Amino acid sequence: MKHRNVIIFIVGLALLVVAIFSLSENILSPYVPFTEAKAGGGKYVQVIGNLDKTVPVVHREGGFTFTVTDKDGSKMKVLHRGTKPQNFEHTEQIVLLGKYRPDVDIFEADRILVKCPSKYRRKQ
Amino acid sequence: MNIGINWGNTFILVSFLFSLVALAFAIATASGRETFIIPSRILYLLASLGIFASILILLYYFITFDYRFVYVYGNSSRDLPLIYRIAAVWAGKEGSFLLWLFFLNAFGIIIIHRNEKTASIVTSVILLAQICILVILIVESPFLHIWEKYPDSFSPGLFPGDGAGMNPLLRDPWMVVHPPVLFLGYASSAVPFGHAIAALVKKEYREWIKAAYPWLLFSMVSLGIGIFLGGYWAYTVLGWGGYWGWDPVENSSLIPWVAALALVHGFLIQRRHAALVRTNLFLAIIYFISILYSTWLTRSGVLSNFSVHSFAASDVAAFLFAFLMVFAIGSAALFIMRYRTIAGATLHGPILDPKTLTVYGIIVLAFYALIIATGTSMPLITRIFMQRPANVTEAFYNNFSKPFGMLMLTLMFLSTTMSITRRKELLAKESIGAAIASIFLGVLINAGFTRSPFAYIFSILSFFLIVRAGVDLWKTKLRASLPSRITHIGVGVLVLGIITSNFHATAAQKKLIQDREYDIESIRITFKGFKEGRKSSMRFAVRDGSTTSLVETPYYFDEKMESIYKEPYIIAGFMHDTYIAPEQYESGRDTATTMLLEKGEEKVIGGIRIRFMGFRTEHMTSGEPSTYADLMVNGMALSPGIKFSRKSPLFLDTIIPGTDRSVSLREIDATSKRIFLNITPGKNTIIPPDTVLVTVTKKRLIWLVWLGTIIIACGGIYALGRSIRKKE
Repeated sequence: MKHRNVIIFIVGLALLVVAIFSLSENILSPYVPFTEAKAGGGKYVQVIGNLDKTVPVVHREGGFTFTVTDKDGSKMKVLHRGTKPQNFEHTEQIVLLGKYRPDVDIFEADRILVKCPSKYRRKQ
Repeated sequence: MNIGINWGNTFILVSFLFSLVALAFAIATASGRETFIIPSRILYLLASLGIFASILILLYYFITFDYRFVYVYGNSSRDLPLIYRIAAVWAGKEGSFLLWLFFLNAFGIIIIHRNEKTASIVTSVILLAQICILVILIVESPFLHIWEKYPDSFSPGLFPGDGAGMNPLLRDPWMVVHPPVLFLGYASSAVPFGHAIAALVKKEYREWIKAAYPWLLFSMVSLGIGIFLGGYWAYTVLGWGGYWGWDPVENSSLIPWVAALALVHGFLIQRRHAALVRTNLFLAIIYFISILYSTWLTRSGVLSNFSVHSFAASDVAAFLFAFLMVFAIGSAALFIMRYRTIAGATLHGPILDPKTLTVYGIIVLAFYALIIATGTSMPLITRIFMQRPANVTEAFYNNFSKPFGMLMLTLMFLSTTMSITRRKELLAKESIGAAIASIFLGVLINAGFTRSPFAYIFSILSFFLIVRAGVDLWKTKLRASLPSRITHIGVGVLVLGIITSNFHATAAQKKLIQDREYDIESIRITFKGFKEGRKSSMRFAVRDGSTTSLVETPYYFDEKMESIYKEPYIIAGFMHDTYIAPEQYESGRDTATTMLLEKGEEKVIGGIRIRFMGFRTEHMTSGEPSTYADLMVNGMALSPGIKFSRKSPLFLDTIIPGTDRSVSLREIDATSKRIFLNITPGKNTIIPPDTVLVTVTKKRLIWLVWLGTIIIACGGIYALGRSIRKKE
């Protein structure tokens, strides 16, 4: 086994990594507010916000919709086609991964992360 | 009130002090004062006593419902079965650190009794790790009293009568086994690391792998089984994204495991050919450091916005980072200092030689571990370079796993093929036969289910690997190559399962009306209604041919989560699993009788038109205030109300004139100016049937995933057994 071959192999792998990284689409998703998600025109992003509990969550075949207020205070309707996370109603914060769809003015999230609070609550 | 001694904290503090002294003695022994070996062992065992006592007493507190402690309060309750009260010990961050410490210390007891020259250096490394975990437990103790954490709610000595309960997601049989097995792997990784440090200190670069090899196998096998168990668990939980979701917490076990895979292959090369000496020392360090790094990532809170499972920000973050730095910088400095003195043999052989291919395999695995680590750390990396942090998507992991997975499979079957030493023409003939069979099988398994070329390529490569390794195993019956062949066959089966369960999966969502049969994803399913109870559930009838089975799956409101908890129902089958996930239940009675109204809003329910005008509160100062909602019902002014008496609220209902129905004000939301009304059903009110929205997913041949992991685990356990027997 020659050292030269090993080095060629490592360089080859490194080039492969660079190639995959530059050729792949939607592998990075920056954290943005809704205004930027809208302006970005359908780029894959993540938005951190809170569930707007004054708007009911609507379930239909093919997904459920809800409204999220982001950290800047702007609201947007969100559609998620997957399963509703377990502590969805009681989440302190919600992270949406997906794209803004300008044709229907909805943020379509293909993944949702929820964080549940861990505080002591006195029982009544 | 006398609140007594906090025994748990005392035990932790005592074992911390003993560990410090034991470390001093172990280092002294390591630097040549052999008379110190006995006191260092005794001190080590005294520290062990403290650690054993602290985990036992925590277990005792859980079993005896001792809610003086925040940790016990927060993770259990009186109605929790004994087995989960035991598992509650590791249900949170503090307790799982304690479990890790317990295992680490137990492994150290085996090491201190060895008479190898390097044992005291390994002991010192274990003690240093032990001290670090003890510091974390002192800063964030599982024995914190509830009145210390919530001084406003509890005066010293007072505590709640029942616990907050265990998160229902954790109330699962896998919770009992998955974390301990994983922590066995985490804890034992310190031993091969300790041996590598000892080798660098003593400049003895050959012998260390003999002592370290069984430990590495043990660590790798338990970490691997821990990951597999976590996968089975995640599969049965709704919303965890199946058996694997590329979540940072999942990755944080996968990264060290892939590093361990690379290292174990390096050990095999060094044992047979005395080569890769530097690589192995480096990888043994990387294995342990990657475990510390992952622990910091997932437990410091730096990724709490990026993961479903990770813990929230905490006080121990700085300590975790400091310990990571101590071990990383310390071992890197030692490695660099010794670098020039380490020499190994050079491997000779053609490019397609099994050992050469193994070396390439090690490089591919190391790259892959680095890629996953980069992906998991992306929010931190991008925060340095960009204005806004960015995370990677699943596409990142999938796009990288495709070429790297193909490379790994190719290297595995090439190395199996090349290790069969027979006449060349015979080998070529057999290979062509295997290739034809694999292409046939690879096409057969995918045809009609997917058009993705990746599914076909991966299936063909996997079949090729399985056939090659299987035939070799059958013909040679070589004990020595058994673990490698078995685990590689397991990898082949696992990859096939990953392909079929992902590329061939189909899903459909449907709103089911009660008692009506639907045909979804080739199953006949009927929603049989909501079953009341303390833990309510959804009932379904599933018809398959002539047999109908009634199934029930939990769907209830959990007090601790303050949210609906639901479970999927999985019908396991040979061709596919049918995964029935209840998404949302709607009560027909509620839709006919309840109403949510905003101020000024008007709605119609069963022919009754209701407009909500505003609130009115009377007798504010009397101690028993009443709130009324002013409504316009079919053009008449009605005002149902709630009287807040001292005991329970009293509902002041109003009959709707001209009907046999009455309207009741049930809830008031003053901030959003909304009310929740209940209109009793009349004689002629049509109550619609209940409905449930379900997602039915068919996961094809998913048992191949489980089978693959079982075969890999068996191969690993066999290798471990052999390495222990050989040593004795």
